[in-house]
Amino acid sequence: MAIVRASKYNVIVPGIFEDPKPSSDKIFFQKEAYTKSDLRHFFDKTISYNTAGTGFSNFGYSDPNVEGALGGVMQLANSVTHVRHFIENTQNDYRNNLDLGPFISMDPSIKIQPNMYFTDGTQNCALSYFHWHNGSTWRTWFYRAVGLSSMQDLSDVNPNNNTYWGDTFTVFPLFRSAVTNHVVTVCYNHTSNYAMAVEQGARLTNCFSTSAPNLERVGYVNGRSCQFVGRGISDHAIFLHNNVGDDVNQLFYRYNDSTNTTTTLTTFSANPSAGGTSAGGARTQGGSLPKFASKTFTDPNNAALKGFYLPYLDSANKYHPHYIQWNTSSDSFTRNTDITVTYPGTDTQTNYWNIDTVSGSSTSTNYGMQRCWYNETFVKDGTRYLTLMQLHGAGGVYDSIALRKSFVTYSINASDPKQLTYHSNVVIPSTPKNICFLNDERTSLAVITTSTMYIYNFDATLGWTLLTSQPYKFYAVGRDSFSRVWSVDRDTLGYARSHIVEGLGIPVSVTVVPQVAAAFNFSGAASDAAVLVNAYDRDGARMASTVTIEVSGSSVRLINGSSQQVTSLEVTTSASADTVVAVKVIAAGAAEINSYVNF
Amino acid sequence: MSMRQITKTINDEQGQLVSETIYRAYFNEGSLTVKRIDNIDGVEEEHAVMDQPWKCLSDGTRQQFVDDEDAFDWLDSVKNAIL
Repeated sequence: MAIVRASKYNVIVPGIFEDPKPSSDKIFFQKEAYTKSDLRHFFDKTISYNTAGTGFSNFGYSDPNVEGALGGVMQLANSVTHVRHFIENTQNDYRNNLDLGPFISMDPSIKIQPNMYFTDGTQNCALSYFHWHNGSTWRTWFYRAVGLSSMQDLSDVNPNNNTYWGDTFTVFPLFRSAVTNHVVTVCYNHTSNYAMAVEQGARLTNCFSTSAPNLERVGYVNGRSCQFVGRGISDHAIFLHNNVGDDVNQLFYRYNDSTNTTTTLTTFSANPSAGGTSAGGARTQGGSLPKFASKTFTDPNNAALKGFYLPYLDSANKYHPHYIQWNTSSDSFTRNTDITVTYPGTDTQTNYWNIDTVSGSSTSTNYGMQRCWYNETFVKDGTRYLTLMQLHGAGGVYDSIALRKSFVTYSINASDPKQLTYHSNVVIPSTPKNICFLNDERTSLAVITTSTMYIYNFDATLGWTLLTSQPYKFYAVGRDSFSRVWSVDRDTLGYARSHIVEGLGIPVSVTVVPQVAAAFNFSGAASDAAVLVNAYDRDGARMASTVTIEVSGSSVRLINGSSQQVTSLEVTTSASADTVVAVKVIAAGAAEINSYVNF
Repeated sequence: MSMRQITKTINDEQGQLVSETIYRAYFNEGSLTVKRIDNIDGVEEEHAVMDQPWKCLSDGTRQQFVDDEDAFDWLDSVKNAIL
């Protein structure tokens, strides 16, 4: 990874803003334009957030540590997770609330991303949005530009809008309906400070008109989370409402964005019966908290069905996720609760995972989004897996109890998706505040904590394996349209410091290890030794990159060319083999070799 | 076409009234249409919010409405959950 730029202006604009128009090669750092592909500066191109083009207008935040801000610092045209760090290790406060972006869409083809571009082939609309919560006011601010010509991008126009929809809405735009040209959304409506209150359906009209798009809604229900399941019959959106107060009440709505009406497709409200290894019933621990379902996938036994997993704990407080099947020909749902979860030997869940029993619990509170349970599925080497995560936006809360920080992974029986077998667990070093998947396969995962981001890759034998860690307090982590990984921290200046974690030939991690450790023992006379240098991408694959290694101390020197002794050396790593760097051990004493990625 | 008016109330966890919404449900040719009644400056407006061709049972299954009374009774019983 490399630090790309520390913002130096105290202005209220995003630290990074990617032009979402596919033909645009521009990305903006505090309004200044660079080529997206290779970060070359444009001398006379900037972006304006002022609708008249006659002055300066705020949009988003350069300083990520603004109370209320839940984003606005890294606006990329791909998945981004924002993280609040306004307070630390203090529970039951709206300033801990999570960015729900990683969980909103269960459809693998529909990403939640801050910057979007819609077109019907004739008209077009570039949309950027971010969320702002201060406990009593909940806003979704948006920048929108319409009618871009084929030659224009966002550095050529003034936005049509720079405003927000009301004071109670957290809006996640999903997709443009090809029938109506509306943009269909998931809309949280935080009435009476309810953090978890959701609309049954909501649309943006006038998306291609110069006037502001209207947020039109059906009606809200309190005490629920909402996820987009996918597009059903007639391309209508289907939403899952899941009760915050329990794990047994679920509703599925079909949203007709043409008429702005819904149809209730399926409801579940009965406690599950015992079945498999599940005791059925309702859990008694954990309190009220949102629980988010996995992405959908094709059922292994019936291609006409899609399946997904939704966290559920039985009356013994044991994880037995609902396996829910979506019949796409009737848009009906079947909830399978006879789930079998198997652990090694005499082990049980308590050996691997511990439920948060200390956090405040209520449905009608403005901190109701401070924590969640989330399970996600993915395939590695032909096997489907399911990982359960317990996240807490306060940070620090789980630090002293390892198993509350534990992500537990189960393998799924190839022919019976109701059979789960414990595979592995990984204990995150500190309280996981939120996550961001770094590839579409969901086998590369960033876990954001108070002071460090941990990047894990999934290994079919070992489970989630730490690839690297980055010791920064990141406020946003995500990918751009090239799938390069970016992140933002505050830096000492406070106006967003941009990191590129991987991409542009920059590795995620660099290793420098002795070729033969014993060769570094000083024998009384100068002697030859060597170090092996490797750079790795986010998948853990060795890659070619240019890095600088530096030696400190007086006992070791690097060899440049045939014999020149130096303390710093530029090294080009190989994608196929260790790169051997000759070293001369010239004296007794400790030496330290550090590596830097060249950008 | 037959009609029944239904009122949905939302209370907070302390039991305080948060909101009260009036709906009119219309039953026609085996299907329910539900409209929310908004009173704007003394003028009553109806806004369609739900088209419901079946009733959803707690076990996840669906059933056709028997008649208008069956439809209205079902809606009244689940109004706090689905409206």
